[in-house]
Order: sequence, then structure tokens, then C-alpha cells
Amino acid sequence: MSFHGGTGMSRVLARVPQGAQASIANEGIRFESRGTVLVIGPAQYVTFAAARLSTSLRVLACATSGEIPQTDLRANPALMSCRIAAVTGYLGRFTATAHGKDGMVEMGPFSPNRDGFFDLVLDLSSPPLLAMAVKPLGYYAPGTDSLAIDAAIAELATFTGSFLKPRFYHFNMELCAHSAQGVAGCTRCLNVCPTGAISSSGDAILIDSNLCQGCATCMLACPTGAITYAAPSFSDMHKRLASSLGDVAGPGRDSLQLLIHEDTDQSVDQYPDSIDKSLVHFTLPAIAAAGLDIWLAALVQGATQVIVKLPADLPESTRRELKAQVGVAQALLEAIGDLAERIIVIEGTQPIAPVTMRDGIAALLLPVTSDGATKRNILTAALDRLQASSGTAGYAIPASVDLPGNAPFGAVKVNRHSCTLCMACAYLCPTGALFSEKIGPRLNFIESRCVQCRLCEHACPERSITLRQRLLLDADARQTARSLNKDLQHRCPKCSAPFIGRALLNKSRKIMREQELLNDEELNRLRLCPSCRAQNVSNF
Amino acid sequence: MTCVENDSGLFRTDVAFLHDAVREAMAVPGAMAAAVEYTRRFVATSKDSQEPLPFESHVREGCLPGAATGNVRALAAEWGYGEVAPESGSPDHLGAELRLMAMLCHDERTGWLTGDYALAIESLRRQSRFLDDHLAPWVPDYCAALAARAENSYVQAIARITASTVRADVAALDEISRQVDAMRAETLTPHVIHQ
Repeated sequence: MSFHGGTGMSRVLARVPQGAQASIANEGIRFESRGTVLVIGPAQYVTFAAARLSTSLRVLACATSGEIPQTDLRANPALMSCRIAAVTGYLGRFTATAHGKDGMVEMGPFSPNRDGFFDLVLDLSSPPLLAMAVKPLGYYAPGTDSLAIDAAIAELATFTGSFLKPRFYHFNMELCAHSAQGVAGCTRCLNVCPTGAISSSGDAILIDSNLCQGCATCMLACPTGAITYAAPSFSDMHKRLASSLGDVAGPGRDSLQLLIHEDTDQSVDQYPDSIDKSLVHFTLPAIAAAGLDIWLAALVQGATQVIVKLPADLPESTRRELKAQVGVAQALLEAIGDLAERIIVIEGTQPIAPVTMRDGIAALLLPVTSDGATKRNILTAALDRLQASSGTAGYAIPASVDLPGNAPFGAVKVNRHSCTLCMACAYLCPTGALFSEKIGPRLNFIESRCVQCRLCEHACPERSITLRQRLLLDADARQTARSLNKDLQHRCPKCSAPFIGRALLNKSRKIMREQELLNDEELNRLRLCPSCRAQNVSNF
Repeated sequence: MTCVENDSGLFRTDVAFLHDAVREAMAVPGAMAAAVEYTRRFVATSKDSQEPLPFESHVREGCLPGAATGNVRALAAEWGYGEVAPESGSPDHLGAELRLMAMLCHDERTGWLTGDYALAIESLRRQSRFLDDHLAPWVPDYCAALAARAENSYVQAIARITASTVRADVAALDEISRQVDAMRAETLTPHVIHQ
């Protein structure tokens, strides 16, 4: 994925030929540019840019600072002095507001377009009004460098017509752990999206497909698989990986490197295919579309090393997330006695050195494309296979490995002294990692299901829950339910029916006593089961 | 009533009030103030509290259990639901009656979605009967009184929206029943409807 330094004509756009509109109308996100541009910035730049652009586009130019000569103002009605406060939107649908005498003023009425939208924006402010790392399509913020401004103007001048962009993602809201019942949970995708396409509506995340440019950082960060890449799909990527390695991997081979890179990254030409096929290229439309599951599956399927090549213009949040995920992979490999450098990141023209396995690699085929497989279970299955086949003599594999802060695995720890087993955590847990049992107040936990979304931590009224990012290295221990807390049932003093845990009842009575809102009789009513309370309400 | 009715029959001002109240309640860890008032008004209540209790028979007959208790239990059994809310202690508890109504609504929805119009129409008929005989005669007044005496805005909001929902449901069911009658006369073939 190439973002061209934050300017607007990204390669994700395809121009729709005239006459072809009807047949391809449903193939992606469609944009229309009628050739109206809003130019923002200091007077000297705006005047110059407006003059250049007005030969091919309809221009409204707003000088946010400095003076526009009166002669220029009289000669060109599209020039004005105003302080633009905000710009929102995307190609064909930009809106702007400005500071007016009596508050904010919508700039729509000044647009040459009848609907009040601007199709394009040339923002020469420093810093630009839109702060996201990857700007919306049609928004150009070249800074004050004259060459960059020239390039932006040249590109803008041709930016009219119809355009299509793929819908890059699938989103399954059922799997999303962002929030539930007003309690905040996972925000990983929100934190890493470089385009500002992802927002929170409270209980759900919203993805603006007009802003999304397919960098896949959200998919890399998503711990549940709620957001996945549309094309290539998750299963297609794994099939292609198996095919790529299947042709060359095999027993006896001591070096086989998989170089993962973007299909537009020309810098990988410096790493040509070798005669002995010890370097295999694996291309993706976005480098973040492949994560831990692909990397570990590659090792299982015969690669001695996975090299993730970062393109030069990768957004910083994507770069950070990829490096963090590689950090998780390396921690996992080290923990099972393998070499951390079997999964690495490289940038620029960094050379790559072959990693050879001391005893060679046996071809380990993993059924990674079986029906129902998820990113998560492929990842853990791959790790278990690696663990079974690797290790150093004398090295004892630990029970668990602590992982960096963004890892989607971990334990939930409950303070048994303060937990009342109210089950708010189990009620909100989106993956079923925390659950109650019908018999007795008991909170159970299956660690393999926990994605560390923090819903339980935030839901707990007693603040009894803490999280620990780690992975249990024993598959059975990971998948077996264990009790985090349990309590005895309180029995109704009238009918002996059990109906509430003792800790929860005691906490309720303690709170009500402290509030001094109930008398002793009413406090004692809390000890009765619902049926006895109702049956005796008139006689109590 | 100064509220504006929206498409779903709820009242916008009540929804807005509830929205604000939920945010206010959730701002305190464990929504403590709301939980305390709930416990006080719904769990630890007794006749000594000098206020109506959330049971139909207590409100309408002055005793618990009363005739309404048995009637609601019998209806739930007749309609195949059994005990819908054992945790409420009595089938004529406010929460139990609302849950029974919700189950009838769910059956109606299932009927319309699956093409089982007989189920949908029968569920509508049962809703009308249950509303007229049980919910409408006491819930709006009880909830209005509860909203007036409640100190916590969440409890006030829940009381208000419950009252307005029951009132709106009475009107909506009348209208839907008229539409269904007209539809039955015009389009539904006799073999679809099992009276």
C-alpha cells in the first residue's frame, strides 16, 4: 500500500472510464470529482496556487493569514481572506467551516458546487488542518516545499471524473470486543488506524469506507478477527502461502527464507530469487494484511526465516504495530527454545543474512486452511507444532511466556477477597473466556479464549480484576477451564432455598447499612429468597 | 403529554432522559446510587415502607398474593410459558409481567418473520388481553408514582419510560389489531388462520 507522502491521489483509486459507470457501479466505493477545489493557507501560497489551478478547476481560495493584495481580490472573486477552522470529508464530499464575526460559518454556500461540497482540498497550512497520518482521498497537504506544491497542483489539475476504490475489509460486529452495555473494551483498531476511518459510536466501532485506504493495520491489531481483509481473504492468503512454500520446502533444506512485502514495493528488487530457491517472495497489497498467524504458519511449513519488509512510506502507526507484533512472535519463539530471529522486520535497503537451521528443517504441514479455522487457532496450532519440533538440548520450556502490552493473549486475575461473584465480567465477556456455572456462584476461565479486551476489568464494580498478557505454552492448560473464584450459596432462612452467593449478599447488606436507608427489618429482608419476600411482604 | 412520539412508539423525551440518566449512573463505579435505590424500592420493601410495592395484586387489591397473582400464573401456564421470572418472587411482579409481555412480542415477531401468521395473530390477541387485563390498569399509575418519589434519576427514567411504553403499547396494539383485521378480511386465506 503506497500512500505517497500524505497527498491525495493514492494508488487505491481507479479512474472509471466514461461509459463504463453502470456496469461497475457495485464493484467498490465510488467517488465523483466535479473539479471544485478549496485552497487553504497563507496568502502568498494561496494566491499563487489559485492562479495555477483556475485554468483547469473551479477554485475557492481562502487565505488564512497574510494579506491578499486588493488588486488580486478585485480581479479574482474566488479569493477571500478567512480563517478556516475545520475541514472534513473525502473526495467529492469535503465541507469546511470558518471563524466568522458571530461564530462558525459554513463554507458550503461559497462552493462553486450547487450542493455546497468541495471535491478537492489543497491545504497549504502548516501544520495542515487534518492531522491524520494518511489524508483522505482528494486532500493534498504538501507543506511549504515548492516542489511538493508543484507536484500537488499538477496532480489536482487532472483530478476530475469518476473514481472507484475497493471495499478493503469485512467487519463482523458479533466478534467485536469494543464495548458492551456501555462498558468500554478494546480500542486497538481505533488507536492504530492512520486514516481516521474508525470511530466509536459507543457500543460499536464504525468504519468509514470512504476514508479507509486498506492499510490493514486495524486487522493486524484486532484480537478477535472481527475485521478481516476482503481480498485476498484470510483463507486465500494461507492457501497461497502453503502453495508457495510447498513447492520448495522439504527435509534436508537448511535455509529457506520467506520475504513478505507489498506488491508495489520496488525496493525488494535488491533481493533477487536465488538459483537454489532459498528465498521465496510472498506479496501482499498491504504489508499489515499478514500477521502472527501467517508468520508462524510459514515456519511450520518449512521456512527457516520470515522477513517482513516494511515499505518506505508506511504510516507510523502501522510500522509501530507491525514491530510490536513481531516482538510478540519473537517472544513466543524464544520461549519455546527457538531462535527469535526466525521472524524479523527489515526496512530500507537493509541486507538480509541467511538463517540456517542447525539440523535442517523437516517439512511440517499444518492444515491451516481447514474449514472454520481462525487467525487465532491457526496461530496457536502453529506454535504448538513448532514447540513440538524445536527446542535446545537442556532447555526446559516454561509454563508460560509473558508478552508485550499489545498481545491478544493472557490471563485474568481475580482478587478473591474483594470479588463478590456478581458475574458482571462473565456477562460482558465477548469470547466466553469468563463464564459462570449454574451450580453455585463460581467464576471460571478458559485462557485460550481471552483476547485481553479489558471489558471485564472495566465492568468489575469491585475493581477486582487485573490482566496479564501472556501465553500458556501447554495447549491443554490453555484450553482447560479453571476456577478463578467460588463461594458458598446463602440459603433462605425461611425455605432453605439457595439463591445468592454469600459474598454478594454480605456486600449488598454492608452497602445498604452504610447508606442508612433501611431499618433492621428491611435489612433482614435481603436475606430472604425472592419467593419468601413476596409471599410475606404484607405480613412482614 | 409534551413528548413527541417516534416511530417505535416510545417517547423521545423519555428516551433522552433515560440516556442521560444511564450516563449519570454509570459515572459512579458500579452505578452505586442507582443500585442502592433499586434495592431499597424493589428488594427490601415491606408494607412498613408506606408505598406501593411492585406487585399488581398489592397495588390493585392491597394484598400479596392476590387474585392477580393467580390469574397471571394461570395465563402464563395456559400460553405455555411456565414461570417466566422466578427471581422476581411472584408472577405478578412488575418485572415478571413485563417479561411475559416481551415473550408474547417475541412470538409475534417470530410469526411474522416465518410466515406463521396464525402464531403472530394469536400472540397479538394475547398481548391485547394481557395489556388490558393486567399491565395497563396498574403499571402507568404505579410508575408515575415511583418516578415522583424516586431520588435517583436512573430509577426515575426507568419508571417514566416503562409507563409511557405501556401507554403507547395499548394504542399501538389497537391500531395493529385494526390493520390485521383488515388484512385478514382482504388477503389471508381461511386455512392460514386457526381460530
